[in-house]
Amino acid sequence: MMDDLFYVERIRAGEDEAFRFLIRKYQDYSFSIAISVLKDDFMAQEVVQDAFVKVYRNLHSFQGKSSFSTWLFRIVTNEALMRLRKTKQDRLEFYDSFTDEDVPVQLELPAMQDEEWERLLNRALQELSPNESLAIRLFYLEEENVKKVREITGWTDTNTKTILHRARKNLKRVLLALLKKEEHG
Amino acid sequence: MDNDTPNSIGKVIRNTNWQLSSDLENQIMKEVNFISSRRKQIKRDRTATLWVFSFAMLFGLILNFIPEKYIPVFAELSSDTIRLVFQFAWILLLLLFLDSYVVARRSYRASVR
Repeated sequence: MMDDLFYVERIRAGEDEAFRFLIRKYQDYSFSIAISVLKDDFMAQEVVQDAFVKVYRNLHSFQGKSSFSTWLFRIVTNEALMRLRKTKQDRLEFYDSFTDEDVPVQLELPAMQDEEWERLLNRALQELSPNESLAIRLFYLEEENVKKVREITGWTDTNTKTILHRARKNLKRVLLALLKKEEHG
Repeated sequence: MDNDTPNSIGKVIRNTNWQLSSDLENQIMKEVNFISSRRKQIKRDRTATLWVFSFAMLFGLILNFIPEKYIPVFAELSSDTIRLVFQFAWILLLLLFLDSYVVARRSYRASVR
């Protein structure tokens, strides 16, 4: 966090190249957040670009009350949700039809290589609804801090916990389905 | 959730970020540099405007205190005409100054937004 503030101050002092550091540090995280919501590479990329430009334009209004990353992720999330609303690709209706039946509380998953896991999880996250994959992504990016997820998304405390709970269950369900599919295929 | 699986889903998600395939960094920096140079240009314009009109007003003020007989152009005019010319010039300068200041300020704010 100190690092980020140091670079923010440098940018404010007129050293634009310092912004490159923040882009390098956060572009992949931001892209992951955007893609969690939008499920589309091209749109997510545009959203990340717009978000960073917005951050640069509004850097004077950043007061440091929250960490720079939380502020940035909030802007990325808002931009992504706005884009989603515009394109009307919200898949919530379909995924809300999931029920909690047959979802084991403790999930026993086989040991796999890290790369395999990464591929499988990214696929599973793509299958979740925008809100759920966003909640999961933010929850783990922000070191499992519900308060930070709430700050970024603007959801209420109860809402955040509900979405997270549902997201975890659905993630397990999708993971199980993918594993089964891979076993048979 | 970390305890749910032997491989820790949380750890994998934290470490698994989508990698940007394109050169987004340079694209963003291009826009940032454009905004920055525009801001600097507006700032320069505003400063220049302030200086020009400050000098013009100072010059007018100094001119006002020089006796008319020392200024050949004014020597032939009546004092009423001179006063009129000065008043007109001052009002014009003031309006120009206010106008350019407001325009510069508005564009600066727009660039910040």
